[in-house]
Amino acid sequence: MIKLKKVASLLLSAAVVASLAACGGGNTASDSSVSSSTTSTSQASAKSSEKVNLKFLSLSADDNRNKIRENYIKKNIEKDMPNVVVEYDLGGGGDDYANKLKTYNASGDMPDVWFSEQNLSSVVISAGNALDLAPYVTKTGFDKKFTMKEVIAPDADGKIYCVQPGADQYFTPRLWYHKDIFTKNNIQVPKTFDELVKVCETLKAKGITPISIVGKGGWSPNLHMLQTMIMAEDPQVAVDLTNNKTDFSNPVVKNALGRIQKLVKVGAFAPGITNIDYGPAVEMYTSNKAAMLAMFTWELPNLEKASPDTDFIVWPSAKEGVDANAAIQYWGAPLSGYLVSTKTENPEVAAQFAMFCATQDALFYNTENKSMTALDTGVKIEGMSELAKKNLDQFNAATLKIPSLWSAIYNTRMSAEITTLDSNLLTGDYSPDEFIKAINPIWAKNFDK
Amino acid sequence: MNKNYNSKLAIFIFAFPTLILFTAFVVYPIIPELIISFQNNDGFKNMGYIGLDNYRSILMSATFWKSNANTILIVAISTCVGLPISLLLALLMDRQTEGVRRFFKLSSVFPAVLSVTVIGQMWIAIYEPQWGVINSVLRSIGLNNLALEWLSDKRTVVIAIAVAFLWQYIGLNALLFYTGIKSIPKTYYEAATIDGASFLKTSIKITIPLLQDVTKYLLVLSVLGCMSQFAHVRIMTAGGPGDASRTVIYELYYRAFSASDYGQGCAIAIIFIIECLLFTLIINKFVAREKVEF
Repeated sequence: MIKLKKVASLLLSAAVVASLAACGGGNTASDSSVSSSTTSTSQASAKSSEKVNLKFLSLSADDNRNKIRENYIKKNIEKDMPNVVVEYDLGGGGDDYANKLKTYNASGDMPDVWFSEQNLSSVVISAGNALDLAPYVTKTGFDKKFTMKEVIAPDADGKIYCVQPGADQYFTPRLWYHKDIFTKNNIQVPKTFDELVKVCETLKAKGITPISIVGKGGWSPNLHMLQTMIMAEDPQVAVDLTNNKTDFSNPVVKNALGRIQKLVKVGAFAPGITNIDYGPAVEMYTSNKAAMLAMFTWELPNLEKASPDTDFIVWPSAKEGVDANAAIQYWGAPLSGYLVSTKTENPEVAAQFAMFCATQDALFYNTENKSMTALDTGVKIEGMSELAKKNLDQFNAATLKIPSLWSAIYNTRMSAEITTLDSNLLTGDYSPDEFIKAINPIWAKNFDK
Repeated sequence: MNKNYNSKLAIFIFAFPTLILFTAFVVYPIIPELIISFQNNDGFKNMGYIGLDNYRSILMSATFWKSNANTILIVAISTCVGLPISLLLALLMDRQTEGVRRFFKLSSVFPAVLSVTVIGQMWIAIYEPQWGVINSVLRSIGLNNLALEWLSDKRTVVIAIAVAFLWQYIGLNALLFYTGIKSIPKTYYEAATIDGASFLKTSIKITIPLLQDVTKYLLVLSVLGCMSQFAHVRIMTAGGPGDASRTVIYELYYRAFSASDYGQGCAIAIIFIIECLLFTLIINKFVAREKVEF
């Protein structure tokens, strides 16, 4: 019995020693890789030949973002920043992306570099998780490359938290339409809102979905349609909203909400609109199931490629005397772009990578989309399509350019609440008064610091 | 005495690791959650203690009560409709040949192991108003009036989600019922057969009463599973249209993460814990109180 115990304890000891040795070996290997990466991170700026690991969180739910990451950032990083090894964290899009970033932010464990829009960037900055890029931007002369200086201007506290390609400043919502469908059905391009309603009724009667929009989470009204409807009657009210000089009980806002409701009621949008996501909405247009598409100009190259008969309408005015061409809303916001974590182990390399990403972003828009960016990449835009020229000409001709409420003005609470209310609005049985009653208390706190 | 002491000590020693883990991962996280529920907290910083304000806001919010009503509707559909169907399937499975039974078992588990994303997307397609299976069938048999916008209509959206959820777990529950049926001694059935009892009578008088432990287990599992319903809602409707299909957990997620109000999110979490405890107590109080041994 004693002998058996001895043998058993010997075997047990051997097993413990072996497993400890195995674990120890494993740890040594991983430790060495971790420590080597840590060391290389801290010394990367001194020795550029050593590898620096960076984690990069990017949007991955739309084609443009995927192309920028896959065909530009991934492709050119090896050539331009050979010492950087990037771990790509694909965050999806919309709410999924926002929540992922917010979770990182709450934990304080941010990726080294990430892309975020204004309302999310503000949250990260207020939590103290975004690095001031001003020293790196000025040191490298990156700020000199911008044709619109406000795109790289410091924030109110004198710091630069974000670098961006300045492509967003050229994006504006359009009402794209199929010329062939209009011609075939003998429909004239509407110039007023009432004419637009009539066009929708005609198309609906012929079994064609009049306007394709992204209805899930109230996306289209959130991002542009509500502001578009406000500007259709009085652009100054949109300006006043951006400056917090009015609220949603303004009669022009109420009328704008009423116009969206009217479009829902005349059947301008597809059945089940509150559940139609971005991809299916675009596909509905490109597959000719919808005659029009309410979408930003970032889809222009994809649309004209998928549907060569595409043209656009300037959103029709809703009041006599309002020139629909005179005012335009643009998507860009000062804090929409690439940010760097304050906790990154090598801030200089991370800042360089953020500037690299902004440049790749601009290159994509200049070369593939043939569209302008505020960041001058040195690429001369050639071969711009007729539609892109028409779009740029109309954009440049507008005398009043108003930033997007969604991208530049709303805070996270406001964005969340308006998402719910816009989705409600798209059901057609939610009145402008209910909308205003619900949103005004949230709006009252939108500008609180 | 010594034996008793030793027995208690042994129980303590064996239960200690589990208790430590339970405390660390279940009880302890509730404490900071409770503290945050009294704060004006955006998830990054505490902007001051505000007493019961978060609870007041939540309890006065129409959306919160709507989300509770939606959750209870999903619980009711899953338990009152889902579990009887599962039981019926299990009873039928028990009467099949081995080959059919094997197919039944395999296909029962299949939906439960599929990703919720896949299930959600599949049901979105099924419910699609223009070309989805349901509306296509309804139109083909002339019931155009019943071809609704299932996920965009406030009247149908919660039921539509509940059906998708029910479908996913109906097979797994049937399998668990079936396992319970197999553990019932065959002698009871032999005696019933000799007495000339029909399938229906055998099921009502023998099988169902002897399945009460399994039923209780599935009831608790189903109620708590439905109470914490989130993923299907997130994927299928994102709580919409508007806030029409939000469940309690979705409302918690919305407040904490979308609206960046962690204080209110945590207040909902605390209320939710109380609700779950209440449901569990009610089930324990009224279902399968007598232990059946066989």
